[in-house]
This record gives sequence, structure tokens and C-alpha cells, in this order.
Amino acid sequence: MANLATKKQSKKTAMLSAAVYLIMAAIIYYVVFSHTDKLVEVLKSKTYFAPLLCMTTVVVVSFLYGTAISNILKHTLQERLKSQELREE
Amino acid sequence: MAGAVEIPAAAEAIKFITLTPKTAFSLFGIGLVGGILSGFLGSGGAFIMTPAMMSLGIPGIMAVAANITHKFGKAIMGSRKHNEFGNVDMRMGLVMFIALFAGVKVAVSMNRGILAKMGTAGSNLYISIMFVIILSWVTWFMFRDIMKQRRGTNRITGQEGPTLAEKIRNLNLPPVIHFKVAGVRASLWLALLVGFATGFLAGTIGVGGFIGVPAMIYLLGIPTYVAAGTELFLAIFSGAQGAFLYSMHGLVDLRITLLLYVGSMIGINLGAIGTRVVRGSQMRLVMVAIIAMVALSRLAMVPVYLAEMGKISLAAGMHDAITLMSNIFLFGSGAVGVSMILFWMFQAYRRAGVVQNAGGDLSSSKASV
Repeated sequence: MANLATKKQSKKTAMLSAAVYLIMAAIIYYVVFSHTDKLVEVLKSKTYFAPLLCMTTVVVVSFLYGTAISNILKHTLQERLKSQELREE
Repeated sequence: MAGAVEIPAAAEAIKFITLTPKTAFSLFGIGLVGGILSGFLGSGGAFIMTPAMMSLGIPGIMAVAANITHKFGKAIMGSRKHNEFGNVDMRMGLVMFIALFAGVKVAVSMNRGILAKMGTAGSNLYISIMFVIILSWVTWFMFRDIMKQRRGTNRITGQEGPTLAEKIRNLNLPPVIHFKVAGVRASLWLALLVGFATGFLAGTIGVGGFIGVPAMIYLLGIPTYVAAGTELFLAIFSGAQGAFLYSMHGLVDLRITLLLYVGSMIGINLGAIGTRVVRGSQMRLVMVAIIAMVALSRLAMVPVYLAEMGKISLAAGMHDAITLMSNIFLFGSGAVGVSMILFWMFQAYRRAGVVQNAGGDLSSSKASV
């Protein structure tokens, strides 16, 4: 019973953090797509700012959005498929 | 797994495209398909994503740049997810990376030499022929293995002697390293050789994962799911290098990369979850189907390149028809692969529902007792 309560709590926490990460990722998407001209200017500058901007954004977005999606799928699809897990070879 | 990145000098006139809602939605779909394949097989996104983006009107070099930059973040998250499942052997990844890098460098030098001597059409012909030979061999090898397993005449029955791959694996040239996650002991030289060969082929035909994953499975004896996870771990390094170099040349359109992520992050998680509920032999079957169709796609293009070199004559209509057929095989391979993965996952989902209902019935009957 206590285990089930902890599980429910962790699912709730995971979903909450997924929502927070999704919002943060959405803010980055908004900033990028609403400042296209400035962004393209930096990306075309051929200075170290271009890879810095690119790689930092990519890492941050993939972390935020990726973690959010991972958390959501972990507590929905993955949990549902738990009884079907295989490990052969 | 393609490592070294070559950037043509004629990339100066490239312009960033105007994004429409249709383009944005298409990029989401391309990312989703590429993500599912990468999450499930550890590779297989790039060969479909780049031409698909080009068909949307994105210049080839920018499609490659967006793809490789996207691969960097995708590989970080994908290998993290696989690591969660115990699918990543970092020791194996690091050993292979060193040799892989050398292999890519050698292959790129060879490709440059061929390009200088035979021109673009000659270079395309060389790459296509290499594609056809290598991918056909891998297809045949894996297909034969799957069939053997299905017939039950694999090594467990002892009816057949060791295969060439097993003989190579059993050489055990010292030093022998224990790869803990993969659960195998393998010669360092063999791991380096696999890394070098993978890098060489990645540098030659641009799709190293197709070679790296089967090589890890058959030559090093690594379970399929660990090979897929380790391959994604390796992709972090090549993705980082590619993202850095392309963006230094002003070729990365971050908007395209971000739109790809919307689909690919969902896909890569779906694919990784898929590896938990699908058998290793089924994973290999998906890989064989995709590799065979990609080989057919490249085989179809051989007459086109021969015509471009002036070796044979080809009517304009025929040229277009062959190119279309090649594209059908290429995009069809992705569609077939993703359909197979989703179909098996859907079957597992339905079975899980039955199990859950049975469990629910059991607990309610227990409660009523």
C-alpha cells in the first residue's frame, strides 16, 4: 500500500517536472522563432558565437524537451508495457 | 556514426529557407520517423532525414548540417534513455571511438582522391557501388542468421560448426577486455578493428551505424539492444564534431534543428521503449529490411551515374523514372521499418492490456472472496 502511494507520488512528481520542462522548452522555442532575424545573423557570422549558440541551444532544448517526453512516456506507455518486457540473447 | 565532416568550398551562396507551417509540420514528421529508427536501432535516421529535408527544398548541405546538429542532442538524450535501460557500454564506446575516428579519416582521404580523379559522377558511382556491395553482404549475412534462428539450427543445437564471425571472435588476441554492460570478453584489437572498419565505411558511404551495429552483434558478440545503445553513445561524439564544424561555416539553421526535435524526441523514446518489448531477432529483421531497401535504392541509381559519366546513354524520362524508383525504395525503407516497429509495439500494448485486465479480474475476485 505504502509502495503504491510512493509510486503514485513519484508519477505525480515526474509529470509535474515534465510540465515545467515543457514550459521552459516552449519559452526557448518562442524566443528562437520570434527573433529569427537576429538569430540568422549570429548563425551566419562564422565566428565562435555560431557554434556556441547552436550547441548550447541544442543541448538545453534536447535536455528539457527530451526529459519531459521521457517522463511522460515512462509513466504512461512504458509502465503499461512493463509486463511485456523481454531480455533474451 | 559518420565521423569526419567535409564541408564543400562552394557553400557560400547558401540561403536560409523561409519556414511555412507545412514545412514545419513536415519537419516534425521527418524527425519522428528518424527518431523512432534511431531509438530502436541506434542508427538509421540520417539516411532518410537528409533526402527528406532536401525534398522540402532545403539545400543539401544545410540538410546535412541540420541533421548532424540534431543528431548531437538526439544522441545525448537517446543514449541517456538507453543507459537507463542498461543498454550502453561506455567502455566499448570509448574504445571504438578512437579507432572509428582513424577509419573515417582514411576513408575521407580516399573519397577525396576518387573525387579528384573521377569527378562528382564517378565519386557518386563509387559510393553507390560500395553501398550496394556492403549493404547486400550485411543483408545476406543477417538474413541467413535470422533464418537459422527461426529454423532452430543455430549454435545452441550444435549441428553446425562455428561461423566465420565466431572464429574471428574466438581468436581472443591479448589484451582481452571485459565489457561489463555488454557482458562479453573481447580482444582489444578486435574492438579496434570493428571501430576502424565501421569508421572507414561511415566515411565512405556515410551510414556507419548500419555496419557498426551488426559488427558489434556478430564480431564482438554484443546483445542487439546494447549494440543499439552503444551506437547512440558513439553518435554523441560525431554529432558534436559535425555541429561545431558546420555552424562555424554558417550552415546550421537552428530553426530546422529545433523543429526536427519536436518529432525526434518523441520518436527516440518510443524506439528505446520498443527495444524492451521486441525480440533481438525482430530488431535484426527490421534492420535487414531497411538495409536491403537502401541497397536497392542505391543499385537503382547506378545507371544514372554511369550516364552522367558518359559511359552509357539514358533518356531524360528514364533518368527521372529511375531517380523516382530509387527515392521510393529509400523512403519506403523508413516507412517499412517504422511500421514494423510500431506494429510490434502495438501488439505488446494489446497483450499488456489483456494481462492488466486479467490481473484486475483476479484481484476483484480475490476481494469478493
